[in-house]
Amino acid sequence: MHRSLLQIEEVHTFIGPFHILQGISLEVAEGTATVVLGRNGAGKTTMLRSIMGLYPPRMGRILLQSTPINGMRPHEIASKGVAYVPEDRWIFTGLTVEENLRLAWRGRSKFGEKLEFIFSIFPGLRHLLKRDGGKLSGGEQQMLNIARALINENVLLLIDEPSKGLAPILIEQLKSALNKLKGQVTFLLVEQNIALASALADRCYVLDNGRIVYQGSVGELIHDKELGQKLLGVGV
Amino acid sequence: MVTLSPAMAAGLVITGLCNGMLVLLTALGFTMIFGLMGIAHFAHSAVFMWGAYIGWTVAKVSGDFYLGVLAAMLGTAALGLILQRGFLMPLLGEPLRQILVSLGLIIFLGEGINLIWGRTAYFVPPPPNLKHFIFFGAVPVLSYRFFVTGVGIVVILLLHLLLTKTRIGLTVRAATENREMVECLGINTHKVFSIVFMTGSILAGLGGALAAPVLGVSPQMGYMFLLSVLTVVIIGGLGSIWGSVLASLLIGLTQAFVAFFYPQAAAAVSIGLMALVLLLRPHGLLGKPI
Amino acid sequence: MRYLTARLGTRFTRMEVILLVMLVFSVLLPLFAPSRYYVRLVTDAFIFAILALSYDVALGYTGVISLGHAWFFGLGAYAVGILLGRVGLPLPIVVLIVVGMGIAGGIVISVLTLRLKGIYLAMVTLALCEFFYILAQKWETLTGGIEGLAIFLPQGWLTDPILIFYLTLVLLGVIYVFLRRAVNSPVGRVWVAMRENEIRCKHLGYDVVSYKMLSLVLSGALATVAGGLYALSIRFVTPSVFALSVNFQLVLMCIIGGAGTLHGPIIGAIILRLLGPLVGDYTRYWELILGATYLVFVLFFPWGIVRVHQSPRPKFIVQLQRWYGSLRKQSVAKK
Repeated sequence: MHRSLLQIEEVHTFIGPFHILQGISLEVAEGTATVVLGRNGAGKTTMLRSIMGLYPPRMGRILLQSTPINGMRPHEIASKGVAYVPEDRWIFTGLTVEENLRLAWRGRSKFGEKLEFIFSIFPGLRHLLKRDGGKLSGGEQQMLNIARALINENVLLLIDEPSKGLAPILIEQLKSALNKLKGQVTFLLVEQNIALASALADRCYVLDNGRIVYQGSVGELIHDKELGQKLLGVGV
Repeated sequence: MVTLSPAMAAGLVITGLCNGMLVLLTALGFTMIFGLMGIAHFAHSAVFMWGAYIGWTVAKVSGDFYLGVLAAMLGTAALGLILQRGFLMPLLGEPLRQILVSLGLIIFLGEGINLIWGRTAYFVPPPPNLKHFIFFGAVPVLSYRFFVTGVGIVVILLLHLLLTKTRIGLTVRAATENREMVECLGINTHKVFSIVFMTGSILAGLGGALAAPVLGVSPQMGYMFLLSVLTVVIIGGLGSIWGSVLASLLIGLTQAFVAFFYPQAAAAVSIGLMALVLLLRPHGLLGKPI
Repeated sequence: MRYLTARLGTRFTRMEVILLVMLVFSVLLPLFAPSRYYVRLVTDAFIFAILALSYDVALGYTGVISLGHAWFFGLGAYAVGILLGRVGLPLPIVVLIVVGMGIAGGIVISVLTLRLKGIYLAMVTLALCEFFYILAQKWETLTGGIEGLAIFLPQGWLTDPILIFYLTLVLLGVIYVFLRRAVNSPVGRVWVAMRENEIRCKHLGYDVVSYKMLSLVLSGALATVAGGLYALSIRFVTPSVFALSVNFQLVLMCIIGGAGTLHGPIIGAIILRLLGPLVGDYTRYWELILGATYLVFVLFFPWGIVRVHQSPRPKFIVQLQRWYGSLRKQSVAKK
């Protein structure tokens, strides 16, 4: 029985006057990969940002290893081992790849060793160390984005649409990289790419209009075509 | 029409660089604070003015010019911290109110000077070993100006090293680009704000203390300087440090040369340059397009 | 007060009743004022009320953040000073030129707004005004430098402070009524929409550039007229008409009175310009108090006196009110 790493309890999040998350509850077990699916605008990104503290919840609790983290500032949540891998990548374009990684590195183990670990997952980054972040391709930026989250001993990775804008071959690389890490790190993934989601995820939730409307396994969702159509609106 | 010999030109170059450096020291703080926090800290020119007055007072009382400069830097560091914590941080994210508060702070701080030191302007003597003039052809240049230019160059180099070679510099560069992501990496951005704010205020204090022997001290100097600083950051590009360096030196040099030929037109130089930049590149020479 | 409002019907808001009372008082002022000094003081307050109105059109209604509005004021003052005082042009021509300058200036600023937004616009307008401040000091042949320009007029109606007072009062009244109708008209509603969300306005099909230009031209013309009136009323112009403190006072007036209401800035202007000299006689800390009041308002009451019930109240005030409310309940319960 896996321990629960992250628990979201009845969280309501507002952005200005807009009620985006309307009482969602979620649980992510340690060492697993959980995926959140849903249409555009359902609130998936808002959910990740709420966990990260960027949009603090107005009501409800978010627990990390049984400690409440809602209301904490993002840097405090990050120092507890939560890493955010945003949808727009947010690479620092004025910094080199090495500087991007060095900034993220919190110094608990040697930088050189962590770099080698990164290269074992993303060999492509090795020769890019001195290149400016702004001069990387989309795929390279995404690798850097995820690498940044791995350079520390993070326990939870919040990943927002990692496959967006990536060529299929890169998505394959991504899939193998993430699979290598499963077990060591816990993932909470937001994805629109069902194939990637089913390859990675143990459990899935579907978010619609700020509410959880389904929880279960991805497999079920794929096989029940009617359900998939109703919840996601596209052919699975 | 007076003719210009190479020696005289060299003299004007030093004069122009010196003036440019003085504005730059205050402009750096303004542009860094804007780049990182999005705050138009108009009151920064009042911090400069306080630096000048503190430096002059301590120098007069102690007899040591350099002690005055140090005192000015410490004083403005404290002032900057108070301004940041008390007035600007609570309004983070509300640019309109920040601008309004900054405006009020200029008036408030300016009045503070009026009350403590009175409304008269005073001439401030340069430090003892830098009082003599060096003649470049027919152009006399105060040796003190070399000192100021030297200090300016050292400051620029130090700042560059700080930003590119240290971890805090790395953090500042990243946070200027994307504050939220830096916070998500586990770095307390509020501390970064404070560091940048204090650094900017210290530089303004340094600039003020150094400017006193050149400009004297007067309650008006804050307002006059505000215009110069705004011109530099607009032309150089808001948020760009090298832009401010480029713009301040450019304006300083141009004004020095124009003043030699047409003394009356010197003030129009900066406005003319600003108008040109606004027409062709509204975001400044090295600024990022909006 | 409520009785009066009820009697006058729903056509007048409470605020307008207050203004009406002030109007009556003002009309009768010269009759019972102890000396000309007070008449001049109130004239000054009215002139700044006109200036504040012009600023409200641009800032409060259209949302253009200009920190250099004193630029128009100074232009108008020096135009009157130079053309009427020095050159001796007849008054109607000077008036036309002053209004023309205001319109031209408004066009300049609206061109600036095309290129610049928000903070940039604020900074550039500030720099522009500061530049003219320095220019007025340096260009001595034209402006008389720091010493300023005295306007010598033959004894006549232009030099009678009481007549100037009534002229200003009438102008203030006419301008207020005109602006009130303007902001309630379809044009005014577009201005408010632009203040709230300009991009959406554009996408709804409105020609925001023209509307903004109209607002700025109107604002500029009124401000230069205020400047001209100022020069006329004190018959002296110094570079201080361009000073930062004028811009600051304008902002303070709108903040205290409440921007975007028209009557708010009038009240702010009157409070500031009347209180200033009266308090200034007692203490040299007036400017400091002004600065402190301003900061308190911006930090805690951004919506001003007029709409203070709308501003987000700081926690301790909310707690105070709750405590006060519970006290009242207790005393009522006791009865």
